[in-house]
Amino acid sequence: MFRQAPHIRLIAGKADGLTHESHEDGDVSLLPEPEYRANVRQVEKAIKSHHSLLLNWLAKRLGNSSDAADVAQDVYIRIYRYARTEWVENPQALLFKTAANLAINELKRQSRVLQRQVTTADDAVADVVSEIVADGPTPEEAMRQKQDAHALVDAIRQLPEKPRAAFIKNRFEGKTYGDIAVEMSVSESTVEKYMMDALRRLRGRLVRTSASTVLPMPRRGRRGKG
Amino acid sequence: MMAMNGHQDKDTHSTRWVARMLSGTMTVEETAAYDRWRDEDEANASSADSLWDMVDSLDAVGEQALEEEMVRDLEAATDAHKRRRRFMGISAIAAGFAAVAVIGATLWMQVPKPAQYETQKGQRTTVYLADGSVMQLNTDTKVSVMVNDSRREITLERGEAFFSVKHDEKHPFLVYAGDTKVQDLGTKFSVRMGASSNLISVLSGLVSVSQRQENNNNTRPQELALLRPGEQAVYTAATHSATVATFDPDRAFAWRKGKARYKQTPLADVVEDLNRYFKAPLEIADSDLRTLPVTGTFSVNDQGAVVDALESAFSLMAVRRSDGVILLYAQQNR
Repeated sequence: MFRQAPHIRLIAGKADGLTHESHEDGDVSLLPEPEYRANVRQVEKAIKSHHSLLLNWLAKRLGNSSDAADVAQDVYIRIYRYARTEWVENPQALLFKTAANLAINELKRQSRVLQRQVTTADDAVADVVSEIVADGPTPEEAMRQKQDAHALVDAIRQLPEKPRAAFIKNRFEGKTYGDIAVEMSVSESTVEKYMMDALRRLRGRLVRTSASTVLPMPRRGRRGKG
Repeated sequence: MMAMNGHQDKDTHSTRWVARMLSGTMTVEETAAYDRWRDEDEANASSADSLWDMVDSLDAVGEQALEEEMVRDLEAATDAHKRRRRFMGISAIAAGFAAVAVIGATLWMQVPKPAQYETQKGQRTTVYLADGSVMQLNTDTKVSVMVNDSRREITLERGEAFFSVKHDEKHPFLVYAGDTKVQDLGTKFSVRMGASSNLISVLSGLVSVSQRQENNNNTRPQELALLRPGEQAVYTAATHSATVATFDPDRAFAWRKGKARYKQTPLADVVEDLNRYFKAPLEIADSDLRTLPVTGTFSVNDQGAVVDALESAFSLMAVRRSDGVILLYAQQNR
């Protein structure tokens, strides 16, 4: 720590938080004034035209309209803050993504979704997924983990609509086949068929043979049942 | 062939079992029956276990998958909303006017005018472009972006940028850096502008490097290099030529994670590279040190930590001069 030259003082860590992930107050604005104004205008337009739809959707997801109003507010605040530093190419996409993200945060806080995710392990994966700088893995490891995470997400994405919906509701929202049957207006045995279809397709994409797994993702408690 | 069928059969069975087990409403008897089935044959066990492992692994991306599903849900809700509006007589006409007004405004706003993005020393940022491509800017970088329905052109005015290009054969993605023209059709690569040369590094896909033609559009520019993944071209402006060599992507793209990596790199080159990130430049005070080989990874977000690391790992001493320059000396008591 500059023992040899005590008169040097470097302001350490000042450059931190300048990555795109951070949009806290005090972040340097990258957008020139006219673009910033155009940005705010288009973001505002997207918010206005989707406000009631978003509120209804959040109320349905969160099961409570006052939570929905709070989350919607938070969504708008974040979008405006984002619009200060980055040009928004697709306001609707940003709006929906932010809404989904904050709805998940709220549901997670209430332990209603993603209950099997252990914080420590998943922080590492979340870092990898969103390219946040992590001190843990070497770049090679990070690259590999990222590719693995990518393969996993992609495999889910490629599922047909109904098996995908059933799988996500069951695995990540912790719903029983009975719950899902009601939501999707089908019978429980149909839900089970969707699940089998999803598992079969995922296995086909992700597992090489029945004996060896090709996924070195962090593994936690086994036999996670709903 | 028999064995193959046997495997497929086991897999079908285990898929059925696991799907049953995930129902969330298993009876004790059913669970016991599963255990008996699993234990009666090693092949049953390994087929089921690999499937459980897969199911567990997928938990790691649960949040992202759930988020994407919610976005799809919202999009579907918007579409349904729009469809409903279209069937509502008078209000449909009103909506029509609104749509015209919106389209008019959009066209007007899209009068081609390049957007500019700039980072200061020590900053990095990511820009999501209209065509779905992503651009990451390193420290002290400036670019103009002209991306719309008819063209995709980026001009690097200084610094370094990484591009992850959305595939679109009809609209080549062009990056200009001074004299250099870099073209590709859907790949990941970076372009770095230097004082006298530009560096183009390709992570995936194919990239064509040529010299920029200012005035004409008809003559085909002469291709100087065609780069494959893992290849890097150094374009020298003075000679209008490019040399191609392989490179280490972990080192070349470390900046995307806020790191700088070196392997047996002379300290003089390390200092020059690091100085791209810091307002207070480093300077080598003892000329003997210029060739000192440096190997290691530095976090460029924190100059203090970088200087500390250099001091302790390479027996250097850092002294700040009154004008802010940080001088690097060899330690006396080696």
